[in-house]
Amino acid sequence: MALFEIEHLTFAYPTAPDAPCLKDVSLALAAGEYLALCGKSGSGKTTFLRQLKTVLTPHGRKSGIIRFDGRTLENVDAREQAGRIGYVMQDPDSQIVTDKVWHELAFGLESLGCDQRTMRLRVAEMASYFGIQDWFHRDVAELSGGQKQLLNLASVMAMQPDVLILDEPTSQLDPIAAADFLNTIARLNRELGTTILLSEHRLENVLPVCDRAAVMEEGRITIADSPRNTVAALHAAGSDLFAAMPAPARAYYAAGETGGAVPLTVRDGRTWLTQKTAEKTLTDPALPERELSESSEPPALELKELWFRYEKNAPDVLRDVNLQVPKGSLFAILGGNGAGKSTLLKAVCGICPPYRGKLLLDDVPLKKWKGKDLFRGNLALLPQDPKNLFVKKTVREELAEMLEGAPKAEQSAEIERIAAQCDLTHLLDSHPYDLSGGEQQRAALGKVLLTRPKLLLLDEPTKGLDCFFKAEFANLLKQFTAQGGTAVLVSHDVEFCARYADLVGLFFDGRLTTVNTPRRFFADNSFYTTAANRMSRHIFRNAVTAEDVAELCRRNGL
Amino acid sequence: MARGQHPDAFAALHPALNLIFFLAVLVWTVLLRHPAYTLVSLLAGALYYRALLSRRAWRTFGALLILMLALTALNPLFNTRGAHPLLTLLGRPYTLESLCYGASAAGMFAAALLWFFCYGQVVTEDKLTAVLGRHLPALSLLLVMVLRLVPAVGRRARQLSGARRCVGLSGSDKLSARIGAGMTTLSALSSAMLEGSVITADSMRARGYGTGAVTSYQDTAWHRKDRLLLWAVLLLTLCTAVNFAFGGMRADFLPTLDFAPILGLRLIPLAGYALLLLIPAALHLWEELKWHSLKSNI
Repeated sequence: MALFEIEHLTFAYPTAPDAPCLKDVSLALAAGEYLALCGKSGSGKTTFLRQLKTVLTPHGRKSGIIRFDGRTLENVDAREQAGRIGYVMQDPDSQIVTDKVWHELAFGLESLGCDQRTMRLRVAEMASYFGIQDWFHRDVAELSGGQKQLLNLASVMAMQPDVLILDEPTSQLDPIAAADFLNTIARLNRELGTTILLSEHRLENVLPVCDRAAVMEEGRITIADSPRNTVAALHAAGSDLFAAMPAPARAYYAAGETGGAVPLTVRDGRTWLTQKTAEKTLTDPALPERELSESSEPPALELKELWFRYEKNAPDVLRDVNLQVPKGSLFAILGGNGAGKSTLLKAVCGICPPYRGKLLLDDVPLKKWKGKDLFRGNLALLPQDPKNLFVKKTVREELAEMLEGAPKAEQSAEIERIAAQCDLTHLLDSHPYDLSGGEQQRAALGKVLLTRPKLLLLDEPTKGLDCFFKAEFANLLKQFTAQGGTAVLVSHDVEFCARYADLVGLFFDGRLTTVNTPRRFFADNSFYTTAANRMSRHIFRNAVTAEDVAELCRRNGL
Repeated sequence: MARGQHPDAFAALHPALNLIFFLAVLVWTVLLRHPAYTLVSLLAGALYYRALLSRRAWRTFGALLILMLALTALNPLFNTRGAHPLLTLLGRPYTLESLCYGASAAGMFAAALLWFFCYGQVVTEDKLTAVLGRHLPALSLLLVMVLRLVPAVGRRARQLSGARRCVGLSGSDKLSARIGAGMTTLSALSSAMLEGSVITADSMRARGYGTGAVTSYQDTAWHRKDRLLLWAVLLLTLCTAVNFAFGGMRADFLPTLDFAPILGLRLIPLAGYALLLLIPAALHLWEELKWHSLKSNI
């Protein structure tokens, strides 16, 4: 029997009663099923998921029926819903209520008035199952983002819910923590039979393990089928959601395949390529390299033997960093958590002044720059959380804040220009906090670009963005570099850097190890590389994106 | 030191016992003005503080000693009462009684400070909220959330001002501009925190907060040792209270020194008081010895 049955659900927010956010949604979720919900930001996924738990349902006009375990959801009382329907949200930090890990695990049980014996047992069970014993007594503030989200999951699981609803739970996590988290979800489904409904944009980790994938487009569920059929249907429909599918699947279709079993994992992709190239000789196993042009111009940013530590007795965070960023390039610095990438950006901004080494901006030492000139028309940093730049009531005021002192006419002309460039024109009168993650990122970028920087630093700019916004964002950056600007970004996002960066460097152990063009860089790596490269490296020499794989298939007449 | 581990044997006892003990000690330290009792409190407090912090304690002791000497010496300058002027300073008498009074007040102050420092080491916030949680769950949760909020606000404020600095929004040197920038950061901070609290509220309701009776997760239990020591603390406190009521700790400094004599039977309550105050240090020492002997047996 279906655990959740949703029939003809339509929902409209009071602010837009005539433009329903959910339109005639029908979906059944069987007990023990793992259903992944995909869709662009703003397609109504969050609104939909929140309908499935009464206390979280936003105000608005609703029609249709939601049944949970055979009863309409309104007839399931709040206590039962709290226990049986678990809900995990995006933001790892704000979801946490208490200050200690053990207390957070117990919070739900406390609220439900659980007795001591049961509570102790459940908390102990959960801590053991999730491997939390080692940090059971810690302050939550000391935890990493991945640990926090795992804690949120564990504290919901402590109430032993029948169904777990997760709304983009990994959007704020780095790829390794995200993969860990999604593996835990799959394990819960497999080992405990917990029903899972997950909205997610890291589909490469989800599609291979889920039972069904549903697609939401503009408030409607358009497809709900097995992962393979969903991928095939999206491709057939020419949907732009196809771009969010795993790289092996994209390469498969881009290479002209039609029927058959779509590879969803790197392993299946490798098998497919091996079979495809079997008994054929490759004439052209590598794509042409773009040569690095030796420029006579001084680099936009040059670091020479830079050393930094936070305290006198603390270990060095930057150890002998050497770096040259050519003018007009998009330079990506990859690296794991805590490698010192963000510190490097702070060093360039003068927030973390190095104790040894040289830092040249446009061939002029950083110390020679006055604070005011430095951040006006030369250097700007886009912070990791775009919200940190928002202080006003509308996006227009946010932008105007950067132009204080300029004549009114000039101000509005500038605002119009930047709004058009960053696609903010229709958002100018919205409150910055009401925008979606991708829109906030664009608004913050607009604000930063108004300082007319020559060198733009970006700290994890693709965190929390879905692949459409990533593509848009990459376009903005490309425009910026095409106009002579230089951008340095630090990121975990291997796929993004492989696709869009001009130069890629790997930051490890406080220094930059290698710097190369994405193709050379990723072709040399075997673990720290893109999915497309991992699936094709045994056959092609330097394919790093799904398009590269398809291109090489074409060149070799496959 | 990781949380969940305790600095010593006394801190490992039931949190309620820790709280009751420190409450009793602080009340008596402030209330009892008799020099013998002040001295006992000062010494016992110093002993336990030394046990908790080992060598790092000496720096505090040095600072407290200077503070005490200063307070003692300064008191006669402000209070000129007393029968025995020692010298005349700026035309005002500098009396023996006032000096003694200053010493007593300084000793009391230093003792109270020492016990407070020990309290800070022993009664961590989670112990306080655990004790409150049993009886006042709502208040306890509020306290927990405030404790979490305060450092979070600080972190967020640093992020905000850092982000603004790196786009040239707080580079001005003018005071008015800097105050303006501070106000902007403050208002942005409040909207950011408000935004977070909406999510926290959702997360609480999603986990059943406000759906009915609540309980409180108790990580602690009363063991035999806890109960025994609780009786000891209560009994010794009562003994001190009786002695206090009968004037056994009477102490007048002004205009002449006049203390209740501590001889014969009157030594018993003083010994009782010392016993009360020495509980944590004794437990600490006992445990050290036990571990030492265990270690030498291995």
